[in-house]
Amino acid sequence: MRRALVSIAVLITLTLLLTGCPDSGAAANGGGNGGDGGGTAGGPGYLIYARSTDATTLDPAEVLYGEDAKVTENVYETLVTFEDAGIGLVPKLATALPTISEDGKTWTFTLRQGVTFHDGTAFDAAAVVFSFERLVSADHPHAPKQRPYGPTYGVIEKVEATGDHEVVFSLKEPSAVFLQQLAMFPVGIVSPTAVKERGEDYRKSPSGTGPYKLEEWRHREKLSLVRYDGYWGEKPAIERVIFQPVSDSQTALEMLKNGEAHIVDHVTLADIEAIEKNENLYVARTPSLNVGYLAFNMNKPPYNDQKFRDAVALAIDRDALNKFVYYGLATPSKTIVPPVIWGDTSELTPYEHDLEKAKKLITEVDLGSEPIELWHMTFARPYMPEPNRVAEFVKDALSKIGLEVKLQGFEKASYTNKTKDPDHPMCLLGWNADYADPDNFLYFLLHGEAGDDLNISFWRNAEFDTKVKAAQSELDPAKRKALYARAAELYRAEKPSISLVHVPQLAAVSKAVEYEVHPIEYRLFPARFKTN
Amino acid sequence: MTAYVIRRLLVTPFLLIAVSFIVFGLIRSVPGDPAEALLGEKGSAEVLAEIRKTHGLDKPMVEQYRIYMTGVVFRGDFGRSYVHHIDVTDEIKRYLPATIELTCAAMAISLIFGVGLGVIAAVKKGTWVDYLSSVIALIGVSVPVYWLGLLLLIAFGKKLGASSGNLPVTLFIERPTGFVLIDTLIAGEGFGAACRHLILPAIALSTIPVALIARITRSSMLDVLESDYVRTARAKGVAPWKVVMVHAFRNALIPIVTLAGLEFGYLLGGAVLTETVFTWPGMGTWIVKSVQDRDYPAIQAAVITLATTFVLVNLLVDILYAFIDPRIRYG
Amino acid sequence: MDDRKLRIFLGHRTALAGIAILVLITLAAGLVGLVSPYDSDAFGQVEESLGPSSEAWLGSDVSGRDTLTRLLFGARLSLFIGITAVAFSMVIGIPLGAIAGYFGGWPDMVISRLVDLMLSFPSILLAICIAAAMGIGLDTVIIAVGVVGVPQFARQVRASVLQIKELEFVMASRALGASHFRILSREIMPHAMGPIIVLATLGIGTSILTAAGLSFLGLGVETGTAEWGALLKDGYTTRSKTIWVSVWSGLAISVTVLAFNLVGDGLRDAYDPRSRVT
Repeated sequence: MRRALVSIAVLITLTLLLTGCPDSGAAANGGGNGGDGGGTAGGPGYLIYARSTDATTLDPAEVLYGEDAKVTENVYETLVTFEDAGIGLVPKLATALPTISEDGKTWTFTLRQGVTFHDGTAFDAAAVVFSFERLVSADHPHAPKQRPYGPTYGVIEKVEATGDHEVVFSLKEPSAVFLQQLAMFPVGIVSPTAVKERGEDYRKSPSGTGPYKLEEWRHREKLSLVRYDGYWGEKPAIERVIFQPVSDSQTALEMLKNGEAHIVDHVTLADIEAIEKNENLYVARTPSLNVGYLAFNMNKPPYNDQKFRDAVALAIDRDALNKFVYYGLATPSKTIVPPVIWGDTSELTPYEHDLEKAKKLITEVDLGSEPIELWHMTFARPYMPEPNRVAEFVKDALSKIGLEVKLQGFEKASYTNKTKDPDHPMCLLGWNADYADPDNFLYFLLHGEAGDDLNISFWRNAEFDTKVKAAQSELDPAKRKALYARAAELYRAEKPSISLVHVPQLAAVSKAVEYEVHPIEYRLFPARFKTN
Repeated sequence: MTAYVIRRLLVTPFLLIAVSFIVFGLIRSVPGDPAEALLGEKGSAEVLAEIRKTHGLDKPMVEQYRIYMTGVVFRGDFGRSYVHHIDVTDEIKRYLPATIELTCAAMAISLIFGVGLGVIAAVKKGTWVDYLSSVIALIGVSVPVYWLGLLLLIAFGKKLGASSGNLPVTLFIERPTGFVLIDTLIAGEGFGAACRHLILPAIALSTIPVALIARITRSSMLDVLESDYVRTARAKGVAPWKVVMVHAFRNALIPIVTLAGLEFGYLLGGAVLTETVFTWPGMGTWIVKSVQDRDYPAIQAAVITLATTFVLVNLLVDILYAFIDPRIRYG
Repeated sequence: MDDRKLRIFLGHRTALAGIAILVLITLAAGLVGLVSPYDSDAFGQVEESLGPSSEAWLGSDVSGRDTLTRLLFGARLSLFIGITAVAFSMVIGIPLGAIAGYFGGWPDMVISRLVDLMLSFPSILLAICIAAAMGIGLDTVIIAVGVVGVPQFARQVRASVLQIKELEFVMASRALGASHFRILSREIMPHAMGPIIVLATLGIGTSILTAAGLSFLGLGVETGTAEWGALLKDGYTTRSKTIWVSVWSGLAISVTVLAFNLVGDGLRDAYDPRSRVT
């Protein structure tokens, strides 16, 4: 007996001793000096960027997730790009914004001279044509394995080099969004020589014109970018950016406090308050240009039953979700387009939450014999910093209307394939804006042409499709707004997916570093160490 | 004895074949079409048929197994990851050394502390020291290793400046062996960091073997201490420490060595859990990620590799044991 | 258990302590539904991230769920998993061992090799492999952990049967022409029960540990389930806020496994006094 008591006593003491003060709050030694290594003026020669998971591909045409874009947007450049801290457009690899023909269908770009790719190839019109063609047409000899954004650029009739440094895009119809789409990461210009030489390995050894080039990629361990000495523009202040996948955000935060990392972009929102109080850290943030949503499979019973979807929508209390999973920092969603984007329908009423009504509806649904499943990711995204908890929340909400849900979690590399599986049930996913326009949400995520990579509900609604498509080529903002308002109505009524929250993009940063989160892109090249 | 060793050596290949076949079968039993997994999307029937053909997926399972194992044994080729499109063999070369390193470090710690604790407990039999050692031993086998790891991480992670088992990413060194301690020594930088990152996972992993080794050391020491020749040595006036260390301990060593050998294998399994807590970049972390990624070629390769290592280590221990203690007869 | 064994067992104070702990845990787990004002899974029942307090004795998690309630529901699930997994191992392992020991010859050959084979995997690895093939879920955990325990039972029973079948009374009933099944079930197995009971008791502890390990890795029960391993993981992933969730669930696992080990040791002493170490 004594031995047992003693052992338990020891166990408890041990526990209490080790965990006496769970969070003393005091950071070790601030950021800035993460280990050994030589430094340049005003800091070490490297910036450590901790994030939820590793990249899978560095071929811009293959990229779908932000984790890949975080790298490619520093390695590749596009013809036009977003302003330094805004969403307006400025030229990048083009010398100026394009000249557009009167009918709006012919767009001419003059390209920058004296730009070289990381592999030494000169940047010219042929490279631009090559980059677009391999993305747009699946049967291009150098088309990548997957092209999630391929259909987006379906508006392109043809791309031609009309000179060494002049490119002409012929569009099928005028477009109000094409210029913004030209700033997106999938159309980062790749070195044709490198793509042809490296073949299937190109996704691991990219070659762009950007300020950083790939130095070393140890899968799941680190991916380091080094300053490209031949860069045409202003060279980055920090010599190296090292991306480190740290799936557990708590570990990442501890690393930040220990000075083992400089930026953590997947902190749980629960920690934001403590980070703001920490004298060595600050929170960099931008408004919520994203959405987290729950998508139903519109081809699979019972998910394709309108009553089922209505019941699920009624069961979810967005305010509670915001409180318990997003710690009050998110914005409960009214429609899939974030409210900060123009054309938002702020007059929309919030989604209804009514358990009684939901319970009644669900009894009218033939649920079939298979268990109701919800698929979710296990890796943090800005719109779901704790994806498991969102899934648990939905499960709990649905259990209140008598719906037993089975959860299935997936890691990043497989989730891409899972969400486009024609047999998936309902999935949790989200979207970060590629450009600040309703089109980027409505067309990309819901349009019949968008492709199954993006339209994971497989929704086909003729009226919705017509409206959204019409809005693309409608150049009058007032008319576009009306079209989008109707589209939002259709979306909210039929519910191919239900939008849940919009979440600010947050990153915890060491005070040794000056860093701003760009509203759309992941730009690390402007970051610098403070000099003092 | 030679016959025993030869028989053991002859059986091992068959054991390995059986192990790999079971793993292969288990992974192939997973619902879903491997051709689709390879393609990464739903393809047309022709495309899928083409993939099945090029990857031999249209052949019977035994034939597929034969092709796979031929690749493994003769070319060291474990296939390609479905989701990451990289050679699985390269992954093994990275992760296996890390796991073996962690296991060895944990083994060293458990031998030092386990044997130490056991000897003291035996010599001070019936005192509080003995009691304490039994309590530690009991707790050691009851506490989840990942929990202990978590407690260690909270208590000491900050002090060590090592929030995880990952080497500092700022360390750009060649990794010829894959063992961090050796590689950092060769490179002449980062050895201290490597030690700091290794120590906590190694301690966490060593708890169960410390407990077991302490127990066996104690009982084995007690047997020897009560034996005639130790009594004789004592009677002859040999110094007490000399009795314990020279006369008794040496003779108590055999069961300890056996147990340590067996534990080595189990440590390889325990490493799976420990690595996850500390994000130690070894086989365990890799297996768990691969399961979450549904990356079946990787899971298959990882499990076969670890099981093979386990079998080989056990074989080695058995053979060593047969040499150390020729009295042992195997039925 | 005859009187002498019972006396040894009852004289074993640590074993009794183990029993006491288990009774306590079982009672608490059984009554939690009646006593606790809270539900195990619903979000927002108490204030979030509460430290130990009068409202939530052991604190609450970031989703506003009472930790004590979840721990006790977790006890139900963990004990259930431990017991059913061991039952699974026994149902498969005992007949295999009995057949191998009783008949010898090729059945013994096949079964023994199979057992060797399974023992050549580190157990958690085999469990992970099965979990990977089956996908997560409660049934997966039970089967994965159960399969891992099969070889121990088979090996133990085989050894016991080998020994018992040579005893006189078995020879006698064989001479009287009893069927193999009758001899095995009526004559041999009752005498082989001791070690099986010991193994089963220790096995429940080990199974709870392995099952919690699987859930901790995210390969066991579904996320959010009130199971000790899953709770430990949940506290771990929110450790800046609610580390106690991990601490308590780890403690619960440790104490329970310890209790099973103590009881198991006591039973072993009772059934086999020679094995007594001290």
